[in-house]
Amino acid sequence: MKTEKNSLDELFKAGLDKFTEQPSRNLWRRISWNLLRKEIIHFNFSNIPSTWITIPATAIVLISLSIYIFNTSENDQLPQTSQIPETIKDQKNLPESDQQSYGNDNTIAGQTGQNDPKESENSPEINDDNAQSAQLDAQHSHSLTRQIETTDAITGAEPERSVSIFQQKNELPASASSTRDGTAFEQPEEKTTDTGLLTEEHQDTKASPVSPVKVEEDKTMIETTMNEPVNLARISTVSILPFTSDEQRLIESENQGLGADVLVRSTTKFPDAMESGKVQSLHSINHSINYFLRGRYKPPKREFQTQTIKNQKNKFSHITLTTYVSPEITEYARRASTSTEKSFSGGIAIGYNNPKYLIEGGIEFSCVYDLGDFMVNLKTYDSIGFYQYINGFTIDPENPGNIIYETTEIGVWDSIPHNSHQQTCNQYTYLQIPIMFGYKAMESGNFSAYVKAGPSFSIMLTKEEPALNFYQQGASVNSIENYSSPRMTTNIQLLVSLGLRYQLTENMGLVAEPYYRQYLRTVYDTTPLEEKLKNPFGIGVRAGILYTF
Amino acid sequence: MTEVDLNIIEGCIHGKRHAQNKLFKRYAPILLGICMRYARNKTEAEDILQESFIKIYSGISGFRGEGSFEGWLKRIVVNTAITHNKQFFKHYFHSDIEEIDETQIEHEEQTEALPLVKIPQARLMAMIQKLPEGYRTVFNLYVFEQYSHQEIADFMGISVNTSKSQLMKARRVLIKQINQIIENKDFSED
Repeated sequence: MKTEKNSLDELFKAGLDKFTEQPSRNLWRRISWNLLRKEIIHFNFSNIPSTWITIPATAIVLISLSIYIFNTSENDQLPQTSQIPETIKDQKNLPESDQQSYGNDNTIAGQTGQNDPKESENSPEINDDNAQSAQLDAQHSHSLTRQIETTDAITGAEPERSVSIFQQKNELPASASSTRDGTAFEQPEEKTTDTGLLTEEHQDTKASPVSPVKVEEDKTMIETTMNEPVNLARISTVSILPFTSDEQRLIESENQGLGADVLVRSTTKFPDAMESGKVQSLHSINHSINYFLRGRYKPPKREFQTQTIKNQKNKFSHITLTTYVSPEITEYARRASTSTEKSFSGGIAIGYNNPKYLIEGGIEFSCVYDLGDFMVNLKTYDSIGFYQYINGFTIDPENPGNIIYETTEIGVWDSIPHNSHQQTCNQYTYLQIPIMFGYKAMESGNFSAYVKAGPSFSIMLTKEEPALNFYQQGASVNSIENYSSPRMTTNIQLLVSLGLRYQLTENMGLVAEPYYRQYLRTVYDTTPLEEKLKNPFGIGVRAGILYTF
Repeated sequence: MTEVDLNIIEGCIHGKRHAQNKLFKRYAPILLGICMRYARNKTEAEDILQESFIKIYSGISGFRGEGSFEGWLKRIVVNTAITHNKQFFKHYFHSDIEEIDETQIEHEEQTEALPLVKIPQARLMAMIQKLPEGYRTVFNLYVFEQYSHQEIADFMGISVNTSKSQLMKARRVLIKQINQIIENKDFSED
C-alpha cells in the first residue's frame, strides 16, 4: 500500500469515499432476469415464477378439455345429423315384416303414450314421482294386462283407438286416477321426456304409414306375469331404454333384481351409428349416478370414430394455424474456434393447404447462444530453471587431488508471457420469418407427412456480448484481444423439414417437424481482409399444435 | 458481520431469490457509488453493478467469512469495473510510455495544498467521470483503493511508470477543474 498523501487526493477521498447512489428501479429486474436465464440454462428451475408454471399448465388443461369436448360432441352429433334421417327414411320403405319390427317398438311407445286426451293435458311428463302412482297402478295391473290381450288392434296413427287400452284406468277411484294422471300417461309427443330420446322417432312413426299392429304381435314383446302386479312406471321407463344388447341385459337384470313385473325385450334394429349416439345420450348424468349408486355403473364406450374424425377438410383447400416451439443446435465456425451451440425458438405459422401442397408463412422469435473468443496475453511469475549455489568446498582426504563442493539447488523465477484463449457466452434474439412450401408425401388415417422447404429471413433484435472478465492469481494481464467478429443484423437461411401431423379432432392436431437449417451466408460480419468463414448449419425440431379452420 | 448478513448470505448460497433481493437492496447504493467512480455515467455504472451482482451471487459460496463481507463485495465490484474498462485501456496507455519524466512525477507527488473548500459530491463525481479511462482507473485505484503504483501496474498489466504518469495527468486535469471552480466561486450542485 502506498503511504504518500496529497491534498487533492484527500479532497476527493473525503468527498466520495462514502458516496452512495440509488440504483434505478429496473436494475434488480435486469439482474433477476439474468440470474433466471443462467439458472434455466443450468436446469435449475427453483426460482421460476409461479405464473410461468400456472399459465402453461392452464393452457394444457384447456387444450386437453377442448380436445375432449371436440371428440365428445363429434361422437354425439355425427350420427344424428347425417345418418339418422336416412335410417328413418329407409325404415319407411322397408318391407312390412321389417316395419313391424320397427313398429312394434313404437307401438309400445304408443301404448304408454296414447292416453285419454283429457288426462294427458294434465300430465305433461313422466318423472320419478311416478313411484306413488305406480303403486296405485299396480293394484289394477291384472285387469290392465288382460285388457291388452283383448284389445283388437292398436294403431300408431289413431290415438283414439289406442286409448281403449287404458280406458280401464278410468274405472279407478278418483283419487288414484288423479295421481296417475300426472305420471304414467301423457301426450304421445311428450311421452319421451323421461329420456328425451324417442320424441323424434315417435313423431316420425306417427306420420309414417305404419299399419295397425296386432295385439298378438305385442304379446311377443310384452310378457306379463299374470299373478303379480304390474309396475306401470317401470313399463314407461324401461320400454324406451334398451337400444343395445348390453343395455338391454342390464335393464332386464335390474328389473328382475328389483322384482319388476314386466320385462320388455326390444327388437329395435337401429343402425350402429344411431345406437352409438343414443347410448352416449342415455348415459346422462341421472342414469350414470343411478347406476353408480347401485354399483352397476358402466362408463359409455366412446369409440374413436377414425373415419368420421378423419379430416374431411384434407380433401379440400383449407387454412391451418400452427403454434410451436423448437429447440435447435447450430454448428458455428468462428475465427478462433468452432462449436455447437443451442438456441430456442417459438412462433406461429399460417398455412394454406390444398390436397397435395401447402404454403406456410409465419413469424417466430428465437434466442440464440454463441461464444465470444478472446486471446489474453498475460505474464506469470514462473520457474524457468535452477542452478547449484556453491556453499563451500573441501579437499577429499582420501584423494587429495579431488575437491568436494557443497552446493544448494536454487530455483530461477522470472516473468513468463503466456497467451490464453478465453471464451464468453453471447446471447442474441432474432425475429425470424420462415416461408415454407410443402408437398404432402403421404396420408394414412389421421396421420399425414409433408416434405417442406423454403427460406427463412432473420433480423437481429437484441444482442448481449459481455466483455471478458479474466483474472488469474499471480498473473498480470498485458492485453486482451477480441477475436469475436460482430454478428450480422440480418441473415437468410434455407430450411428443409419433414412435417408430421396427427389430427386429433376435425380441427385440432399435433405437429412434429424435424428440420435442417443451412445459413446461406455467414452470420459474422467479416471484413474482406479476414478469412472467409464457413456458413453455420443447424438441426432442430418444431413441436406444436395445429388448428384447422 | 450481523446475523442478518449471515441469513442473507446463507439464502444467497442456496440460490434463494428473496435473499438475493435483500442483498441487492442492502448493498446496491454503496456499490453503485463505487461503480460511478469507474464509469462515465450512471448507465454504465449500472451495467457494471449488474455484472458485479451476478458474479457475487454465483461466487458467494466462496466467501469464507474471514474478512469483511462489504470489503469482499467492494473488491468484486472494483475488479469487475476494471475488467469492464480494460477494453479501452490500450488506446490510452500506448502514448504514455515515452512521455514519462521521472523528475516531474516526483514533483507531482508533492503538490501544493489546496485551499480548504467544500465542493459538492456530484461535482467531484462529475470531474472523475470526465477523466479518460486510464486516468480515471489509476486515480481510483491509487486514491480510493489505496493501491501502490506497483500493485496497480501488476493489477492492470502496465508498467509502474505508466501508472505514475496516468495518475499525474489525472491530477493535473482535476486541479485545473477545481481551480476553475474556486475562481468562479461556483459551488453549486450542477
